[in-house]
Amino acid sequence: MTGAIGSDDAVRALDARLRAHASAADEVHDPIEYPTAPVANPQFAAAVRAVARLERSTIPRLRRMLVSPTHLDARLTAFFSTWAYERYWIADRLDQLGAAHAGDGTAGIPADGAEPPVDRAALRRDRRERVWLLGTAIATNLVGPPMVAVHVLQCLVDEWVLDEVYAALTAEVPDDRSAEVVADIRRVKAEHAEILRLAFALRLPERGNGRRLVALALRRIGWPADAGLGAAHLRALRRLVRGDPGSLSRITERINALGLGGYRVALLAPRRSTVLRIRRVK
Amino acid sequence: MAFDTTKFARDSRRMDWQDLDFASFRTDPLPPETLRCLRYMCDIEFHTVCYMRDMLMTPSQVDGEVNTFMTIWNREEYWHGEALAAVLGEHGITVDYDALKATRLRAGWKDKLAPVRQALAGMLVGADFIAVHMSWGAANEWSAAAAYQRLAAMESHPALSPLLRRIAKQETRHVAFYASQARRRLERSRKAQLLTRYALRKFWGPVGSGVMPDAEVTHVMGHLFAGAAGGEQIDRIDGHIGNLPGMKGLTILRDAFRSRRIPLGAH
Ligand SMILES: [Fe+2]
Ligand SMILES: [Fe+2]
Repeated sequence: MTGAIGSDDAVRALDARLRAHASAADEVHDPIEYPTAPVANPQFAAAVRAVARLERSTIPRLRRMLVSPTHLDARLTAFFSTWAYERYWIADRLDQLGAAHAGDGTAGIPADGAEPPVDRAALRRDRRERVWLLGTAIATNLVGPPMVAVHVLQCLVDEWVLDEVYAALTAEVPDDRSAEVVADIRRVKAEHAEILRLAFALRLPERGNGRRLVALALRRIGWPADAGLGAAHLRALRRLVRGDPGSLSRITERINALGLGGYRVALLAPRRSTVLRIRRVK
Repeated sequence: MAFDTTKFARDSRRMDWQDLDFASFRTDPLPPETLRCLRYMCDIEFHTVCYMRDMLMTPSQVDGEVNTFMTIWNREEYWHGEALAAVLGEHGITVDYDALKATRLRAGWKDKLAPVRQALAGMLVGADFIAVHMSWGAANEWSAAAAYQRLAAMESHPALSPLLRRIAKQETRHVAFYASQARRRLERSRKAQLLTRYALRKFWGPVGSGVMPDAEVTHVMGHLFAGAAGGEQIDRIDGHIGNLPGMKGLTILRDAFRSRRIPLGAH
């Protein structure tokens, strides 16, 4: 939008990176095999299933972004095609890890699988969300381009938190085969985060109301942003996030490097539907 | 016939053209008419995400199988766009993201409010609205498969024709999903049948109409489905649509061509 030469170069570099990312997506999805059957580990199983649930929420997320001017951004929608595909298979692999370690097959959180049964609550939630989306579609179109930066930012912060979550999973992964699977997933996620970071830098308005709007949206981010998570999911995610005392400050550092002012990431009290919030530091 | 979404996801591959002799485009370049069609098709493939968005505003979204299909389908279509862009690139035609964005912008407010309309309709009509979308998708995928097969036959080019046949093969799998979903949802609801019949008759247009300029729609459709063989294809697709529950006698493709004054081979 600025038309500066430096930014044109950055756009070209991002395009090349997007194409490389799309071409590199792994298309082999054989079932995970273990040299010896894993020992039951209900805590690990519950944790990976909670993360699988987040990775599987891609389509509702896409829907929220696509009703807005974000759908016009052909670069982003190209990225989303591969992003959604990879997240689909990440969720699949996490569910496999969950099943392998659940022992009796429950581990507190039932597996989602590719085809969860349609329940009444989900239908009601979907209906409510579609009503909400009507307003969003109109409002975001009035806001225009800064909305694209907001959406990229929401995805980016989500990736940063998930990076800490995966680090916690790595710390408690019970066997080598599972460790390899988690490491593969982290490589894919790291590329998603980096592309989103580059895309955000190009879309963040340099000044004015647009930039203020993005900062405001940052303060409204709650994690996880997904609807319909059960109490057991939230407990597992909360445990992963708070496991390492350094994780919150690392997320905070990354957010503060965005150039949108000073913030801190706060862990909310248990039994809330949100685990983390971003607070402005005066 | 049920569609196996899990198998579809597992078997899905990005469109590959590395093994095709793209250097042959230098010695044996495609004529301008064909390039114009490819440009149109390439744009439409890249705009798939906009069609997906409309689909997602219906109550279909809580269905895990639909979500899986949408994820995989959208990526396959993206790669159709990339493959066609590579062919165009060999002819010095660049398809860049900014041009695609400009096309989406040109669609204007109509496009911006599309999700609002879709959601309102979805809420008023409920689950039966999914049948409309699935039937609509089936008509589009049938058209796409036929268009690629037609162009492959018309050109008989050593690199283009095999590429287009590969794409057509994936389009045929897309047809299988939409048609089986449409059939299932139409079978169990008379209201869905009436609604779908009305929507197809009243609003359906050739793939790309509403997004691409009218002159392009007319030119590309006229070129792809010219002559008796083209007319036959159109009737064949109309026949498929007519076989869906409650759609008997519909001739939406032939009607769409007639209303746009696109010449078409006789019945
Ligand atoms: Fe396609
Ligand atoms: Fe298709």
